[in-house]
Amino acid sequence: MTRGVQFKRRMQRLLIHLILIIFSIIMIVPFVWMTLTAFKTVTEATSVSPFVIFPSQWRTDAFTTVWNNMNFLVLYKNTLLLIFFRVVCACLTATLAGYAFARLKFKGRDFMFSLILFQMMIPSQIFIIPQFLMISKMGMTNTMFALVFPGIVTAFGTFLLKQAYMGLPGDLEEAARLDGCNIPKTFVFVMAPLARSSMVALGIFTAVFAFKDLMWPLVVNSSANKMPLSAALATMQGQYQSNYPQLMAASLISCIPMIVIYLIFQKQFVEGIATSGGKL
Amino acid sequence: MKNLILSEEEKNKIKEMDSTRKKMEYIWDYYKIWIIGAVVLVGLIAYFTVVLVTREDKPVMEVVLVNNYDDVSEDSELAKGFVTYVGEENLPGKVAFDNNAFFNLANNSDYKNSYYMKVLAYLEADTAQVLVCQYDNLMGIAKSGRLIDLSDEKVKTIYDKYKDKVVYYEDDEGVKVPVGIDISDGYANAGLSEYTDGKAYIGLSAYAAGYEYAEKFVDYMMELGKQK
Amino acid sequence: MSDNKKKPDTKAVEVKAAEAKDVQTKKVEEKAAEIIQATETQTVKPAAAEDKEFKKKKSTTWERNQRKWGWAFILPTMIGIIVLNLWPIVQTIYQSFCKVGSFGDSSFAGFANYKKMFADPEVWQSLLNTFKYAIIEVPFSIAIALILAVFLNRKMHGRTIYRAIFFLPMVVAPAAVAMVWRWLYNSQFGLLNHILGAKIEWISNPKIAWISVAIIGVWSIIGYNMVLFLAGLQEIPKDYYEAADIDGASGVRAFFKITLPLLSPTVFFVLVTRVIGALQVFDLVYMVMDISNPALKKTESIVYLFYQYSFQNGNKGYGSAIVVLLLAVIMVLTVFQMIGQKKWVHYN
Repeated sequence: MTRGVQFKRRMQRLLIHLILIIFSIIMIVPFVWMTLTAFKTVTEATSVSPFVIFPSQWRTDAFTTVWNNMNFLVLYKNTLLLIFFRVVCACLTATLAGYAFARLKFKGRDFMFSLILFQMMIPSQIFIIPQFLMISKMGMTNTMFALVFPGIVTAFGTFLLKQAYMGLPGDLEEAARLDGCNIPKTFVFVMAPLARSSMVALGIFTAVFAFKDLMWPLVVNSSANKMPLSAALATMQGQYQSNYPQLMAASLISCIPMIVIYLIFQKQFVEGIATSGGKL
Repeated sequence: MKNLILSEEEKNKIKEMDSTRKKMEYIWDYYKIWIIGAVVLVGLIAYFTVVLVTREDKPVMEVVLVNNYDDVSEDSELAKGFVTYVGEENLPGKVAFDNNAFFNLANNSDYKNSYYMKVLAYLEADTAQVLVCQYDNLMGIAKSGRLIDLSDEKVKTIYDKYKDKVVYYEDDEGVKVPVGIDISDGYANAGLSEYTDGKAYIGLSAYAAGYEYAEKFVDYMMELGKQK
Repeated sequence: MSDNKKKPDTKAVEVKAAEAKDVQTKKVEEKAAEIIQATETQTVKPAAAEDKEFKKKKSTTWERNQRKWGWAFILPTMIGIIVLNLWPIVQTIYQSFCKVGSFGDSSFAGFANYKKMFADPEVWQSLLNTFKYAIIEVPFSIAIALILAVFLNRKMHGRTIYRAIFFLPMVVAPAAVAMVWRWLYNSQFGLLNHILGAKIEWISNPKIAWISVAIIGVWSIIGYNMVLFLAGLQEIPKDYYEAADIDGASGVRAFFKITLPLLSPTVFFVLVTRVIGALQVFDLVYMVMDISNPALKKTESIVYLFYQYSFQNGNKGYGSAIVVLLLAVIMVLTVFQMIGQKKWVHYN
């Protein structure tokens, strides 16, 4: 009997792996394509009939050219600083506001929250020019502050953290409060640590958006040593039009730190039910 | 507000501790979140002040060049030539040239190009007053309504001077609007590598507060054009 | 915690809470029970009536403080949102009542833009296209991501690798994504037609082009949803599963009985944000559809149309009116979801 159960378990595990592998293949194709293209010649990369999948010869000159032409150290520094400030600002403001919206009762709360939702409903394209106007009026173009500016607060994150706090059990908060903890203490020591995984998710999102955001850095920062990676890649694309191998090589080099950051932070998603014997 | 973080009781407790080290450890253990928060806040304010104080003045005029790959920095031939032409004493601030913009609006898909958006933002925010580009791009940006109608009162003097060089944008209803000035000759003589068709045009922002230096730039380009 | 760092009594709760912060919710709950017990035995020796009064007193100061701290906590976010976003929105709404002509001039035009919009078949077609897109993207991306997240939350071999792979589409260069999908969909040399042995015009046949675009949408959004679900799954106390005493076969039942209800706040969040995101689809259309594509009119989204009018054709007033229409549609849908959540979202 136990053998039967074991067999069933094994089959289940196999099935799950099979599903995951199929999806992995679908998800990984563009990344593989990117890698392959980086080793091709320009003609191989753009040939349509027929499509060239594997490079006839594995050339690394795209990597060397890109590495020599772009100042990756400065670009990494700008990008990481941008990501750092955006993540810190977003997590801080969103966790405060999310807690207040979920757990505190005060007049005007629901109206204020509807403003947050309202912001999410507007296509982001309308914000670029007005926000640039503000930066330009302040005379802050070409600064790190300008890069971080639109990401200081986040409606998305506030909503996310609000949902996280709403899902937390209420008895602990109650206990703290009956024992004389005031609201900031309850928040900092009891509630905020419990919503940690949602904060990590918000951090990952903010980092990815900051990393990929192209329009805003291009608009506010035009000097080469103030640009993040995304804008520098676009400049490269503009200057050497459709040199796909170089473009892909540069993209590949630039997205590696992001993958490393993600791999470090996704480790936060390991507690909870996963340790409960792994039923589901 | 003083009871907010440290109660009287707590203060006494800390005072009673026998060594400074213990006091520090105690405070760090229980108040590190507040301390870190305060440090971060102070740091941000300090940073902001520094940036605000050391920021550069807004240039008196900025020119955006589309699809240009030359050196247009302060020490370039173009920038120096223009400053000499106007005379440094007549310029209250810097003149900026920006050629970090690449698109070709003959391809419809380039309207989504981020650089196109950048140029729109620069024109609308009065960051750039002058646009130098090829014919297709001039017409594309004119279509978006961000370039001034040269027959407008504000730029009448420029229009009157260079009537014969003006190019027109024709809208959907067939109305012809003057939006650009042909500066092909001056462009080459300013030390810039020519566009493939040898033509270059100037357009002016519809949102600029003043056109005094923009006019001088047009004059300069025309002057250069006459030289050969 | 060593003795010399022992806290005054008022801090007892805090110490316990601070200790608890890194442990799973189960432990936290145990602590909570302990704390409640401790308070009751220490401070509430007198009769039950006094106990009640004591609690009431505590709660009224708490109530009063809620207002103060509530506003203090939301203040940074609200200032940011108002300055960065609401002001531009107000301007947009104002512009929708203006005739912002070319070349810098604008004049008040009342409802002219709206009248024109309601009579414009292109607007309604693009709204329909957007809905069709959302109907595919939202449910599929949520369902697939949910299943993947549940799988990847268990202890298993290669979990980190799978998680990394599903994250990749988020950081890959958009140019690579566009190239690959164009190649997959190419009707002559494309991989899909090669595998299927067919000659389907994936992106130029108006009847199926919108599905092809929506498939890319699902593909690109799965990773985002998965990260959110993974985060939400961490907040489910594990003892719920132990208590339910489930054998290996009823994993599916446990999913519907325990995981889904407890994850419902996260699912609700993903649903609301995905509906909004799907109705704002823009980049995808530009990415795969050329202007000469005969199927463009059947795939262009409402934001695509807005972009065209506001940034390409210099008709900001009309573009703004389209944004207001989109805003109204999203608002109605969101309000419905907000009301509907009472039926299926479980908060503690």
